[in-house]
Amino acid sequence: MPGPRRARWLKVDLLLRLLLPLLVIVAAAAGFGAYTAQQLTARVYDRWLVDAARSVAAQVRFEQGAAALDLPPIAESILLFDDNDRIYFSVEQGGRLIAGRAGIPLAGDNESRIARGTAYDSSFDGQPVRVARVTLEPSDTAAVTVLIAETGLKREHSAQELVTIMWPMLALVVAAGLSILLAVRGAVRPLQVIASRWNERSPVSLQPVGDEGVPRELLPFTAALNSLLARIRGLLARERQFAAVAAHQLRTPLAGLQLGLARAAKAADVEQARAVIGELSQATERTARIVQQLLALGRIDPEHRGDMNFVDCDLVAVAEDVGAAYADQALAKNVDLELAAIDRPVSARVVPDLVAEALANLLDNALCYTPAGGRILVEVHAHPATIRVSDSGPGIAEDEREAVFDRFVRGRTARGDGSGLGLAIVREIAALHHAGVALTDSAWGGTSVTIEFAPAQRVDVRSS
Amino acid sequence: MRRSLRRSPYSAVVRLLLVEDDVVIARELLLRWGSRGWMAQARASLVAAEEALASKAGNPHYDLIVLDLGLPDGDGVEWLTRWRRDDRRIPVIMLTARDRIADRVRGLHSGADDYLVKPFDPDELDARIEAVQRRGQVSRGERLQYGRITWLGDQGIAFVDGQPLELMPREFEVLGLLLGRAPRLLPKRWLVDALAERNLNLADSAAEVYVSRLRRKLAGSSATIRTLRGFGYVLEVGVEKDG
Repeated sequence: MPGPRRARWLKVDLLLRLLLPLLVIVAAAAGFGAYTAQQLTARVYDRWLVDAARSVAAQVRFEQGAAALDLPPIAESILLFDDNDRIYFSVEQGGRLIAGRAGIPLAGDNESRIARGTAYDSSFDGQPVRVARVTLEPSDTAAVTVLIAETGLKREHSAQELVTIMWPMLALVVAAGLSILLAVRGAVRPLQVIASRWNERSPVSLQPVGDEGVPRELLPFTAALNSLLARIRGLLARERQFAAVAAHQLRTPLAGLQLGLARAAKAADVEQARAVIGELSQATERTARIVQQLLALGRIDPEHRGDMNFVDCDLVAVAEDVGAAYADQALAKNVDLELAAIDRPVSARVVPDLVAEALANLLDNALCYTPAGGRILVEVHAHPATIRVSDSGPGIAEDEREAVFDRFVRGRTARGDGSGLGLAIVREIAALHHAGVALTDSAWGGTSVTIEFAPAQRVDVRSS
Repeated sequence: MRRSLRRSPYSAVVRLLLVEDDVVIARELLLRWGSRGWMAQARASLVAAEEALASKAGNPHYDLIVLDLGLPDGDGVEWLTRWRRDDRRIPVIMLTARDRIADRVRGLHSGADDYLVKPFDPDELDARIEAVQRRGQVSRGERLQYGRITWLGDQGIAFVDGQPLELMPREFEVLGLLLGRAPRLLPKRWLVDALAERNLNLADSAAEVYVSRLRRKLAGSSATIRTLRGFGYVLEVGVEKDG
């Protein structure tokens, strides 16, 4: 079982699961886009620079091996004009400056080759520059190198302008985030609506909850709740019926007591009153017995079965205990009560209290129906573990043998004011142990009830 | 039907402490015991009971405690377990509405001498009080009288209907055990265990032998031993009529 922890908010959970990936995806896309765009613009600027260098190179004339630049001043000013950046150029042959500024570096970092030219980072005149180098290699004379250097302001500006493409991304994130928020709220709202609708019901109502408006995914919850409610309704119905029956069962002997007391109060003399009070005392005992039986039935109700403790237990010891408790009654009634058991323990996995209760009920019945001078035999056998109670009473007719196991059903030969609960208790306790109960004729024409515990029983009522 | 015992020189006045918080039950029992000549006091809580028991320290002030388990200030079983640890030898009979065998076993393990489930027959309670008293007398080897049997533990002699019984020591022991339970059943197991405690390792059948010898010696008297085969034995004694 998981330990106690705080319940999660479904809403928060959903939002996290949707918003986090969205942010990651958008951030990655933005980053990748910015990088690519910067690479592209850098390349475009490099190409322009290299193109400019090539245009200058195209103006180089060779006169008997010596290079000369034939660049009209108007062209030079066009070449060197720029709003933001400073542009420098140089043309040299074999280290000899032919035109432009001397000292532009011949190599640098971040070199990239573009269309018969090369671009690289370096610095000139104390500021960082991007330089384009184009080399003319005529076959008959020394190579001529054309260099054009440009400061990086333009490139920086364009990089900054690139940030503006992030704004739509941000807008996208905000818009998507808002719609996710709304969607999650909308999806969760039915839960709150359902919960409040269920809460609006009368707090004592156990009627099933409706499933109109409940999303499909939640139908199992509704079904589970309704099944739980149904079980509770069943439980309550059983309890109510039980209470009603118990009240009825107790009202009858109480009414008898009341009548008896009235009779005793009007008795002509003390002796007469004593006789009535003696009867009432018996009635009180029977009432007490009914209360005990009702309590026993309550204990074996399905709701309590989870708490039952099955242990390996000696049935002979149980029979001795219970039998001893009935010995006084048997003696008083002059009934021969006997235990026939082998001389060693008969072990079974049972709830000892309940087996004792079942046996007590069987002995109760046997003592009730066996006439004075009769006999009651308690047997305990092994393989399979069996308890049998036989009496020499009037027996139970064949056609009633099934019915007498029902609660409050009593046979035609029933006497006294028993509750009709005894055999029901026996049967329910046996069922709890997966034990069989059989009602047969005893050797003396009376009743014989056998509880046979299943061999190697695997009792598993502790459903989780 | 049993009648109350005639006062005899052998049975002292029983001094009872009733620990019971139900006013009606306490009143009825006190009235009942008072009319039998028993001295009884009632306390409604464990604290009050403890005070009453401590009031004459060192002096066994009470012969027997009747303890209800459902008291307002605690669980009687726990209290008894604690109290018994100090080796108080006053016998205790428990009264309770708990009717389950597990509770009964728990009660007896905690040091109770007997156990009665409410609602109970008051005659039954009195009989058990007497039996517990008799058991104490038997185990202390005192003299006791039950019906028409006189049992002189210190001399190893018993009389029935005024006639001395010639008993072997084991038979005398068995008679004592039967007296300590009468008029209830002495379970066979108890008999075997009790004899085993006195270093007499016996098979069940040997215990039966002593019982049947004792039965033969009682033949013709007003005392009889009835057997509930498989369960145990009951001593039935003729009673002397009152006055």
